[in-house]
Amino acid sequence: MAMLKPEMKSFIWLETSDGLIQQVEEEVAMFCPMIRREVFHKSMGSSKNHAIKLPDRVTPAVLGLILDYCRFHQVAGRSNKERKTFDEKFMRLDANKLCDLVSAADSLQVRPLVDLTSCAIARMISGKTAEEIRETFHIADDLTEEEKLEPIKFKTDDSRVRLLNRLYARKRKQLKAREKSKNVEVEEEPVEDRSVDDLLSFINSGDEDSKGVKPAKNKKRNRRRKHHRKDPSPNTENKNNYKETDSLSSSHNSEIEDARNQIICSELLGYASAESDFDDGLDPALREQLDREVEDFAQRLNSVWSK
Amino acid sequence: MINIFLLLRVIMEVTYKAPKLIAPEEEDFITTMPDDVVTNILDRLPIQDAVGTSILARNWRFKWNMLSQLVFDDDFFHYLSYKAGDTNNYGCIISRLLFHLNGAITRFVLRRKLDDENVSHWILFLSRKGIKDLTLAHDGITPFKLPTRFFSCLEFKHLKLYNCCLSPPPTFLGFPNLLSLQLFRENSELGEFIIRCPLLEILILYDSDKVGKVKLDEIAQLKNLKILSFSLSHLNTTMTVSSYNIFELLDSLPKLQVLHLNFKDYKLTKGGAKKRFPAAFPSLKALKLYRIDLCNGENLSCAFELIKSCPNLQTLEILAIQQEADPIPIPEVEYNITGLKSVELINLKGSENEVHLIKYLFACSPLLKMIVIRPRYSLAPGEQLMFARKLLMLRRASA
Repeated sequence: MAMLKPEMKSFIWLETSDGLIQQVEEEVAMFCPMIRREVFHKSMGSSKNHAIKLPDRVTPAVLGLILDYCRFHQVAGRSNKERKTFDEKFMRLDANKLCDLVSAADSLQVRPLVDLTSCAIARMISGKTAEEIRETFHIADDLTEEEKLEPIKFKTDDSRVRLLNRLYARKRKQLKAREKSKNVEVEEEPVEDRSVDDLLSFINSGDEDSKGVKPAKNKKRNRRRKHHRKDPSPNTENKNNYKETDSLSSSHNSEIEDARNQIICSELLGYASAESDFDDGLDPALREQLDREVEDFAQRLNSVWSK
Repeated sequence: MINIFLLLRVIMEVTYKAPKLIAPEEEDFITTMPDDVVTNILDRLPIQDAVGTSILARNWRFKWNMLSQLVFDDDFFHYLSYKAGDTNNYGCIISRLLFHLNGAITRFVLRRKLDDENVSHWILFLSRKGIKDLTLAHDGITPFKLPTRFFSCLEFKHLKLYNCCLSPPPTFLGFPNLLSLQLFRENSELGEFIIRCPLLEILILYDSDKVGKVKLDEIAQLKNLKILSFSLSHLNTTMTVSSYNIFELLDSLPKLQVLHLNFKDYKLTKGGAKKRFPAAFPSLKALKLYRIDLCNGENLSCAFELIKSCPNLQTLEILAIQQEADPIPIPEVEYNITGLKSVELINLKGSENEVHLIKYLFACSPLLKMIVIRPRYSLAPGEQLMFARKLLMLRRASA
């Protein structure tokens, strides 16, 4: 059909996931290896009836973006600087679009675009806290506290998570101790909704403790105050009080160092050894340090201890 | 009853969140991406961030296990020192990390001196994971002796070995896929090693006091070389080098695009057969002559010859030294057009020879866009001024 005018370009027919069929200039579309393969090996795309069916991930909107990219880059004469500037502007999209773009580009096998977008996404992730990342990408936070506390190599994102880690271990130690000495009341907590109840029972047990050993508590608090005056740790980078190991390490002696390393190691190893380490390896100064942190934490909750 | 209030408070204060009820249209963008895309993204993050993604959500817990590029560099160790403190644990931490990795590992970079035994074990582990790109760099005193297992990883494409000891076993047949090799402070007989890597495109031997031994004709066997950087001191010292040898080398490397030659205060010897090489070297695009004494006749004429016989040369860098006291008479040079676009001459003294070279460059380079001339640091201001004046008087071919 139609007389071929000299300036007429040839077009390729593409069908996106929603059934929409459109035609695209040949040289632009051929920038995508997947489309190129369809054209050469399967002779598709030459007419509306034989439109190339694009993978599901390629919606019309994101196809538009990809074609814009291809249209720019398939022109041979552009300088590297021009391409770079284009790429930088092109990447100014929000997280949603970037993710769609990278999936679609991957299914069309446009490698340079995949790499470019992956870089941009990596930049969005790098250096952020878990909370911020979830915010940006709308990830549902469906880990229980327990799972979060499972020591993950050397990185626990939130300092509070780390503290909870210690509190949790300490609480279990307490439970074990109580198990040995007293009756089993404490054990009968429902196990399903563990995370909230854990903390609750912790508070409860804290309650009990404070009632039982009030004088000791005061002593601990005095000691804490004294320690705070005594130990202005100069080379700390705390954002809050709870970066225990880092802030206090400088002012403690090597014994603490070893114990601290044990804790770090145990974090890395997992629960099992952590407990035994805690039970056996704690020296009084470290235990005191832990108590102090717990108190700080409790203070923050405006809670139990002040009763 | 008080406990209920406490409970509420606890829930609010502590960052416990019930799983967010996400409306269907607001669904999570990133978790639905195909695995290899996610791996690609995680590979580009610093390791601590990549591992940290495991606490984002339930199905993110093990996405980082597919990491295929591991870079343990200064940033990482700085992070570790901040979190874990004791440097003796670093080997442990990395080992544990490696245990969790499920997929192929194609790139591994270690820029810190860690316990040799650990590193050997890691190389063994990596050899089973399809390692293609390995960088081992440290500034310890004793070189790291590469385990035998290293030589049976035939998939290596890129190697950067700083301060390691290459001693291949007798059964070593070479790395058939090796594309780039960068060595620093390498002591052993390199010649045997490199001739067994026929696909090599990039060979960089960093200058150092401890030198490996390699012969020019061994380098000449690497027909695929595109980038070559070495120092004359790397050569087998029983051989003295003349410009003839250098041209011979260039002639046998048809694909060479970049040549960095560190004269390291050597003087080229006269002679070798004064065979004129008919062909130019059309592929050479960038030339760097480092620590060359332009006051020496041989060196100077070698430099001129090189510039003349590389018509497509675009970049020229010369770092000069001045050793010889009496400059020799300036050789006569025919002027022809060069394609030079950018020239950098550093540490010049302003001697006649140097000015002569610059004059030549100015006169023959119509495409010249940028020329940087940095005089020698210790030059007195008066001398600098004279130098500058001489330069300004030279005729320029370019705009």
